[in-house]
Amino acid sequence: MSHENCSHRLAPPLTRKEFLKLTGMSLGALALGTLLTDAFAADAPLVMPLDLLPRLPPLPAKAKHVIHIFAGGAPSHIDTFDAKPAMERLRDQTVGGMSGVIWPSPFKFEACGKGGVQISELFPRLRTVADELCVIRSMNSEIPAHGPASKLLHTGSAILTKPCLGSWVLYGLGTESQNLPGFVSLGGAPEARQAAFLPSIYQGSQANFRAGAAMNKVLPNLTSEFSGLDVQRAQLDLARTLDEHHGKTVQGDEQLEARIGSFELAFRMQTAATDAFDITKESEATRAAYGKGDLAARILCARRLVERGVRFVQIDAGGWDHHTNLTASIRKTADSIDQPAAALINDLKARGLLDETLVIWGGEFGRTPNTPGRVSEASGRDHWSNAFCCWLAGGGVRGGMMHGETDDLGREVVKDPVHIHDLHATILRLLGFDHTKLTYRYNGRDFRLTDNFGQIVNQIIA
Amino acid sequence: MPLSLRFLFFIPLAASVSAAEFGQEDIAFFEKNIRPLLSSKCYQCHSVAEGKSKGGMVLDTRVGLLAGGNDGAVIVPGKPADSLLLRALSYEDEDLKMPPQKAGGRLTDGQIELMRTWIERGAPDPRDSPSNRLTGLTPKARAHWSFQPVKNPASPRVIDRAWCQSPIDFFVLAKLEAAGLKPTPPADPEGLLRRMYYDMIGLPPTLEEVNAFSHDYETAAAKEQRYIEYGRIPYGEGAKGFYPPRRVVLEKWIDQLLANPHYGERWGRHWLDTARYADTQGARPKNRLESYRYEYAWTYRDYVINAFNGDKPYDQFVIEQLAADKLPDIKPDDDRLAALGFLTVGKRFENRNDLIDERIDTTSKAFLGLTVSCARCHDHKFDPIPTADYYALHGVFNSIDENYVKPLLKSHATPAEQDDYQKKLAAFEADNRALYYNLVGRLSAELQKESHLVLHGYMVAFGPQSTQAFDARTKYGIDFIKDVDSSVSRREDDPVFGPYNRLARLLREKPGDLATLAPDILRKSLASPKTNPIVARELAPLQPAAIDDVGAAYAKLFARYQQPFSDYLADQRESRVPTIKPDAATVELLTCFYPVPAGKDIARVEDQMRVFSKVPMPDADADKFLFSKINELRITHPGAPGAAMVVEDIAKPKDSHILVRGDASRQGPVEPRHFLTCLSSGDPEPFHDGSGRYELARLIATRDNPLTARVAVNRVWQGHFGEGFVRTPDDLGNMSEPPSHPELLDFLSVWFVENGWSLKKLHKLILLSSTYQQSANPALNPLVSARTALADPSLASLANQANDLLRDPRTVDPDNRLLWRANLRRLDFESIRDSLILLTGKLDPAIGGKPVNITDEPFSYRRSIYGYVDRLQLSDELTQFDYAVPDMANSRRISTIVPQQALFFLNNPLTVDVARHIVTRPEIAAAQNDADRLTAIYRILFQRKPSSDEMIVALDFLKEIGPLVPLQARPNKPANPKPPTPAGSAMIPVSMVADGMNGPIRNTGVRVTRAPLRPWELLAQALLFSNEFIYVN
Repeated sequence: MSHENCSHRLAPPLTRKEFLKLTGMSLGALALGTLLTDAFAADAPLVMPLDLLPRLPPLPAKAKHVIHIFAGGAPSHIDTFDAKPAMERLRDQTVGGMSGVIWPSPFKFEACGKGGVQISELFPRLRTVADELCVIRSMNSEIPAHGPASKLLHTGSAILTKPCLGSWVLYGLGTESQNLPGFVSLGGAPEARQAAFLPSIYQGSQANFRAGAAMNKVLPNLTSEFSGLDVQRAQLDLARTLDEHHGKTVQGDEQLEARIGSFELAFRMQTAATDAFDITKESEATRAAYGKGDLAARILCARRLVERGVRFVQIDAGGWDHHTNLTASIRKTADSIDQPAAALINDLKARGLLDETLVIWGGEFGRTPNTPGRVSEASGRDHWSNAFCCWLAGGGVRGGMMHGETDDLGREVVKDPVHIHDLHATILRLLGFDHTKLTYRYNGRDFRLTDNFGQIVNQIIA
Repeated sequence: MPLSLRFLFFIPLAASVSAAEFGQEDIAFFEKNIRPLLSSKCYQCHSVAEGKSKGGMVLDTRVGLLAGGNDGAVIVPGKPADSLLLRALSYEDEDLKMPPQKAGGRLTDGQIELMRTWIERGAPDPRDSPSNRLTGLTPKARAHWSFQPVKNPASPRVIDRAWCQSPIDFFVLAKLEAAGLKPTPPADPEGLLRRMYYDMIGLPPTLEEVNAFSHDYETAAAKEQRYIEYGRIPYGEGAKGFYPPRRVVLEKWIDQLLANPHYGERWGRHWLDTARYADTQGARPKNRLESYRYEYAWTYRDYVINAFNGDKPYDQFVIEQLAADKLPDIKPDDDRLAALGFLTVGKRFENRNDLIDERIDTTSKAFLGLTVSCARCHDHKFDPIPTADYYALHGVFNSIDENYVKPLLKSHATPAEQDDYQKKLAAFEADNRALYYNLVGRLSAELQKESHLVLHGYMVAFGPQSTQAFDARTKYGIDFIKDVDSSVSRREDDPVFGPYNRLARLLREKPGDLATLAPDILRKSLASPKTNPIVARELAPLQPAAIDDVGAAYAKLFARYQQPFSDYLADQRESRVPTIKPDAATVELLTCFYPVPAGKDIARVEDQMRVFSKVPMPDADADKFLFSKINELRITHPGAPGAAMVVEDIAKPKDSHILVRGDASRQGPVEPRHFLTCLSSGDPEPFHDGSGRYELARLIATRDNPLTARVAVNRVWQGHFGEGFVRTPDDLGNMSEPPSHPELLDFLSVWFVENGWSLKKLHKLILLSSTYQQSANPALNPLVSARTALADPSLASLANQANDLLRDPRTVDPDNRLLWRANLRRLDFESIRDSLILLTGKLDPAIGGKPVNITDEPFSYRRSIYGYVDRLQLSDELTQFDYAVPDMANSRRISTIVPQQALFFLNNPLTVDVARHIVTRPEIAAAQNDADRLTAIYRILFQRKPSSDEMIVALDFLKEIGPLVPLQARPNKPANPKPPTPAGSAMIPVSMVADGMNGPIRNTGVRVTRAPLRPWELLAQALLFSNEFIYVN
């Protein structure tokens, strides 16, 4: 049986009551009005309702959605966005405390756009959108090991199991589309989507998305292998009637009504999510703009999700751990992200979504200015966390700018350091939150993304 | 360290001006005018004493006052105009008015003027308490209720004594009556039995059980009613009393449930949430020879199940989990040793301090309801737990270790299964052994051949950088040596490489003088009695001009020893005694790169792990060992025995240093191992018995500990009512809410201890209470139904008066904290899945055993508690149904309603499996017509008949669905009828396979057939969607 024929049988619209009652624990207190205003008394920690309904943040903000592209493996800042011409003087020399010799970037940099943002030749297409990019060249952390450093980047803690950025954002803002998960993770390690001690409704939904993958492989249980939508519609109608009957004769309860609503949402989600993940519905031109490959498909998919109201999309775009053969390998890695990232920015802008969508690209740390041994084709760079870079675009960030500076070797930050905690504080501010007030009480204390740290980088906020 | 000093240890002395610098007059001004104002108007929200620092500010210490809050300094001494405090007091600023209205509002002008004068005078302030930090080390924090001894409260007076069937009821009813509320009448017998079944065993009753119980219960209720009509009173009040017949029935059924072995599975699961149970480390193993999966975590899980089923006294349960190995009567294969899994099934960390912290955290939350871990970096901010106490426990958990060899437990496998397992294990072990000798042979040969370059590489790993050295490292792939600090590279008294290493240091320090200084240094080095005589002889004539000259000499020496090495290796491999036994110096030379143990000494996998883990080797070689295969075998093979995941005290237990701010590089004074100060009378006694675990355990598991019984009772109450008296079961400290029924909590705690810490008796006491047996339906509460009756328009005038008198429990107590009814509860993940499994007719009732996959096809039909839990990659299905995150104690599950749960019911093959099974059951096949068929389905699913309305709707559904469903029959053949049988295991059926090194456990078996559901199946599936199926009311 064909699914197209049954559109007339799709779910009846949710009643306002059902909508309001959906999800979470504090079912009694969900009048929209209170969510949007009274929840935020001036100096108290925010008391967030534990549900997924959309709500306004307490502070004025432009960004409503986030697409976080995680460049795992730690991209070399020196070869990507932190131009170090002065390094040439020290080429092939041994510098105290570092093994091997200094190796200036084999790639040419250029000042791009009106803002003169320095971008390496690895990213010809990102160069064309330089005026949308805010490059932070003074990122730093204490941890030069992938595992804990990624954890720190995603959750603000290198050791403990804490909620990730996306979960905090979903907790703070809820989500605009109840037909789709509010936080979708397109690949990546568990810590990139874990809700930890936040209620599980804030966990990122893992979507094993690849171009052409079957939908029930993308999101578990999303589609049925046993019955069509029309049959399921009839089943839901039956269950709903019986539930209502049961509610009248045995016991009525908000939880029970909410659960009825959740089945309607689930039913819609089957169609809505299938549609959202179907990038074949994009025009040939759009698909060509993003390019080929799974990463391009995921980034295009991210745009489709954001466009449909998904709050946070996490994308894994790793492969940057270039200990050896950097020159050749980083080209490939950069190439896989250059086109889709540039296309994403253009596409969001063309659709008027860039202002409200914060795009973040970056890894967990950077790499050394030296290469072990001699400079050769096999040269690479080791881990380095005292300085690295990332870029942001859209979402109320100032475009066409570079923030922070490192020394001549890109080893130490010399101006405007931005720790990972500071980046988190700034992202939350861009979304309308004071990071010290977005807290969750767990086991006797209030936790927050930035722990006891974090300074907002006001200079990059438009 | 004396107590007072210990508390002062971390305090920053930040006050810039000491109190002594103010004159008498200034101080008097403060004391007379300012202190009273601050204390009456400000401390309430801003003081250490109250434990409140709104705006990040405390005002009851001088340091705090000067430090200010989140908005910066609040006073600038001498400059009232620049002081934020005055602005706030003046109420000029719309956004900053202090004190706020609710705290008394604006001060008088006179008071504000006093403040101004005070700041002008330089803000004199004699309060020299040095801290502006929140701290729980205050009398107020120590006075917190849960730190006080448990008292046995008298039963309160109530009006409606007849409602009270149990001592519990008096406490609950007294609070209800005080609030003007009334309890709700008992649930109907069907609902009550279903509630009791899910509460006690996590499964629904069968239709037969429901019928039998309802019959007994209703008969008894009728009899009871007659007694009451005759004027007799429940509970033996004088001669007129009687033992209520309903109670007789309930006791019988409760006893049956308590004796049901599924009870241990249900309540064991609750405890496993607390004990953060999982089957994986959750982090990359320490070295490549260890496994990501715990092979034996399940033995701890089974211990817990058995402990509950055997009603092990809770105090014993506590002691065994911390110190079973220290019990006087413990035997080597004692099942109780598995209890120590409590300490070892947690998440692993690279840093040992993190591992210790994890254990302190879990121990303190699980048994004491305290967040002791907060005191790792600073004194606890809310509870009286100084950092020193944390490190007192740190010493305890730092004085234990885990051995590779674990005590095997009694196996229930058949001899054939055991043989098969042993054969397979032996084959892997033999392969590992062979791999090791091959590896050592190959690497040693290479190292012997060109040792001068290799030595150069060694040196480079630590010393100066050179491209030549880099090349040497690259060529021989000896990067891995870097980690092995104690390897040959550095040690200057190494018998074989010492002489070289001394010269290497010379090269590092005085590269220009090597040629002139080397001969002398070499001579001295060779003269050392530690130096290997063969090496000494070989190097004696050397006059090195460069370091590589020495390397070349070594190379020459090793070249001569290639053949002896091969012979030695072969002898050791076969564990045979050679004809000519090499002397000690030769053996030393032959084993200078790698240990070459005799074959018999590395026969067992545990020995292999112990030996190999100390041997530096390239990753590519380490990966060849079959340890992960052995891990897979042990966790899946039916013949593999269980072993206890024990810890043992190290030979020399040691006290820990206090780490300043938790920083391992900043050692403070040593703190003796002891128990928490706030739970000790006076200074705690230092521990003397090994690590101190047993002493610690006994100090927890005693009736004198005010927390242990309360924490346990609170969790049991939560298990029956959905919420505990305190809704944060792992934290009963100062940050928790006050208990809803403090006297009842204490009464039950005393009762629990006096009844031998018996959980089963406690369950029974609770289940026999009227409180527990109430209906969950608020509409049945007399106050609610009275209001509903008055809603009739004809009674409008009466209603207006009556509504004022009738309190509405739904608004007075919407969260039902006073328990005016039972709580409606959604089933947890395990109960939902277990109910579905039960309905497929394939539920495997066996208790205990190795883990299975409970979320993926092919399905296992074991209960959910036997699920393999990977804490790092928790299955989405578990998360979506609010499974407890197993990274720390999480004794309370949140209950959410999300569409993903609905998608599970709609689309997961398990519900299809259920629906198909139901319609093939004999009672449905035997049904004569649709009505009978539907009735039979209702009885299976809901243990009741459908109402006529329900019947109509369902039959309509069938009519509607008919045309939509393809009529062709399902293929008879299952999709993959042949379960995989690994080679050579034809005898032993394999029910599980492990998916690679880190992947999940997969069940073998048959997937659910992919074919469209047919009308009756669709109907059965749709009934699973209904609320009735997954709610307990």
